[in-house]
Amino acid sequence: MRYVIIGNSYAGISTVEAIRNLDKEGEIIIISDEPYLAYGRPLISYWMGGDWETRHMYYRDKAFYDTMNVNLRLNTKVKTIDTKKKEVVLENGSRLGFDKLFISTGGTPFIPPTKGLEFTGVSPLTTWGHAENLQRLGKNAKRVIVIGGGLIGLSAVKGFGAMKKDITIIELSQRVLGLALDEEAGELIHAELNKKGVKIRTGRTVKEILGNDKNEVRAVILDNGEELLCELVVMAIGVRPNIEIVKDTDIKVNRGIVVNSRMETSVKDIYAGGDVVEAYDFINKDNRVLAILPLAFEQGRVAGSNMAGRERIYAGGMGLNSFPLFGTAIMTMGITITKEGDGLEVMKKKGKDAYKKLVFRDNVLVGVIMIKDTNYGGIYTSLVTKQLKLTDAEKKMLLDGNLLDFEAQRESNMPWSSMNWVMQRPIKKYLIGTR
Amino acid sequence: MPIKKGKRQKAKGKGQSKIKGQGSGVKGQKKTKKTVNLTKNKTIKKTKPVKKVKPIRKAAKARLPKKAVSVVKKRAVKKPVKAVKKTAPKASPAVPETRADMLSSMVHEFRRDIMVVPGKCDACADRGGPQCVEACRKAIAYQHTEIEPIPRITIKKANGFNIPLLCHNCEEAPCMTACLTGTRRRLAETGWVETDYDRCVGCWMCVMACPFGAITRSEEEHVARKCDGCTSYKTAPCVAVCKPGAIVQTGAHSYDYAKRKEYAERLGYQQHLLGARRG
Repeated sequence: MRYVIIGNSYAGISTVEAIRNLDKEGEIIIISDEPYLAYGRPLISYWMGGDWETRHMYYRDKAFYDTMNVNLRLNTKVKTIDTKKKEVVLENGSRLGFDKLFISTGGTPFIPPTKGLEFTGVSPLTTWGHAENLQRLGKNAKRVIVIGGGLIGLSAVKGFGAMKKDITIIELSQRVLGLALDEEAGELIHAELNKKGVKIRTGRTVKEILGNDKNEVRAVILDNGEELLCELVVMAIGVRPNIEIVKDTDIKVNRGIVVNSRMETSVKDIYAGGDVVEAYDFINKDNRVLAILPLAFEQGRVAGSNMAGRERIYAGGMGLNSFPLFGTAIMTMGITITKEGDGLEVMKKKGKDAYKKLVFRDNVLVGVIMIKDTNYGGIYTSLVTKQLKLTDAEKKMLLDGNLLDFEAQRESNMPWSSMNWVMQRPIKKYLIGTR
Repeated sequence: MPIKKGKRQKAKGKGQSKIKGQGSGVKGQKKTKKTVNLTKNKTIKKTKPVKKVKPIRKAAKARLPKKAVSVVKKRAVKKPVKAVKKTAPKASPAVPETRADMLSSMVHEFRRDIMVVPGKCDACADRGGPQCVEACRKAIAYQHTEIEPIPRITIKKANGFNIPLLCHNCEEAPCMTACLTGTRRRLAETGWVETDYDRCVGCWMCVMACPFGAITRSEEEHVARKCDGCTSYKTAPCVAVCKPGAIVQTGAHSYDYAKRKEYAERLGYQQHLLGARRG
């Protein structure tokens, strides 16, 4: 049995681990177009700012590939997939046969067509290569413009913030992290960013990028005609599924690769996972692209198990993230932005620089925003995942009380816990006495 | 019932130390003997065990005290005999082919787990505060150079019970799944989900993933701390000081056995009740 895995990141690694759990003999080949071993992708911004050492970047070390008996092919690009002959066509023309294939090509940065993209100093930030490039260019730069205030944009801000640059964020919507944060949370984050000297222009886009005679970036022009001088431009608008290699094949593609609950694509024996797929979202109850790390790992595990012959079902995921921004921790999950009349119950608690918002649908927790105090947030995650019905007292406890108290309460109420039996003991004694 | 059995077995163990030594030896080595017997002459059969038994006993002695709970010993006496009988007719290779194979089977056998026996904790009311929390604080103090040590075990009161909250060492641990840097991993040698804190970046992804609230944010250090299982100790310090026996160190198998027995007893009691009602 030959397993071929395209993509050497979280989903690919978890697939390898899942396969090796069940199949010790099969040949595993990982194809990656990058020159590195698997590395922590979100760490690139820390590394760029100099907060993180190169030796700590690797997600799995060389010994991992040896013990897992993996044939790792770095610097190899896949051109397309021949689904009929069951072969992967590489860019140099050679063909690689497979019995089971796993596609985890991840995402590519989305760059809207703008004038002046060709100047040096304009770069996305999604791979280590980009980070290396930006770090090198950043040495001579003073002013940095980050286009897009999403997670990647804020990562870039974090990295350049550590390099003590003058940063301006240009965001189309009304606040940064517009998909995850509501107005109040957005204000807090804006205040935090302003405190660190980061300027934010909301409701604006970049119309044109200007360069000087050395082909270097000189300035950007906003849609209201304003000109902002800069030496670096980071394109962080978003990420799209990297579906280049499956475009002209039988594999069904919507926005991402379409998969079933076993993570199998429309073609038999070809599986997919990670940021490139449209997988089930149990909160919105549909299939959508969720580019989130724990979900990628989970999907890889499900796919690997199925590839090695043990049936396993992907239960679904939800959008969730945890992000520390200059000492302010942000944690969001599920539905966080609510409108009036959508039938959602909202509970809020606001402190000086902390904020907590819980969203309920039919007494089931479906969304959380936590800012500053994110302790024990996993208890919320488990409540959302399990879709447990909550009473009013429990809801109040979730908002105001200590979460560990809630967890203890829950533990003591478990019907299968032998705690209940202990509770019955006095009754038992009573019964024996009467008999 | 369980107390009696334990006593008997201890007595047996003293009298027949040879059997014990052999029994608790590594599975794989026992199997090799069998295959050798099948293929080679009987004369070799006699000489071989004499040579091999000693190293096995040494290995067993070296290994056992590490997992020094009596429950583990008990199982070690019983199980290998059964296992050899079962595996002998199979055509599978006698010796585990890779080191990883051998390790995984051994980890399964001897792996440490710290479990909570519900309802037993009294929060050390007569001993001046929970002793396990203090023991934990002492044991992990070396990790915290800048701040006060944060104990990795908490005792909370709910519904009239004291509930120790600590890491459950999940099989497919969500904290492992969510870790950005890959620093939180299950080590094959100890079977525990352990962390190299030098490589923790403080992204709080694991805090978001842990359904038990067992991971603490240490904001000053920018590191997410969790129970490390104290795998360098013979018995974890929190277990060692627990007088009521609310926290036990055991393999999942022996715990499972104890639990099933408990439930069986309970079931018997209920049947008894039913009978009484009918009569």
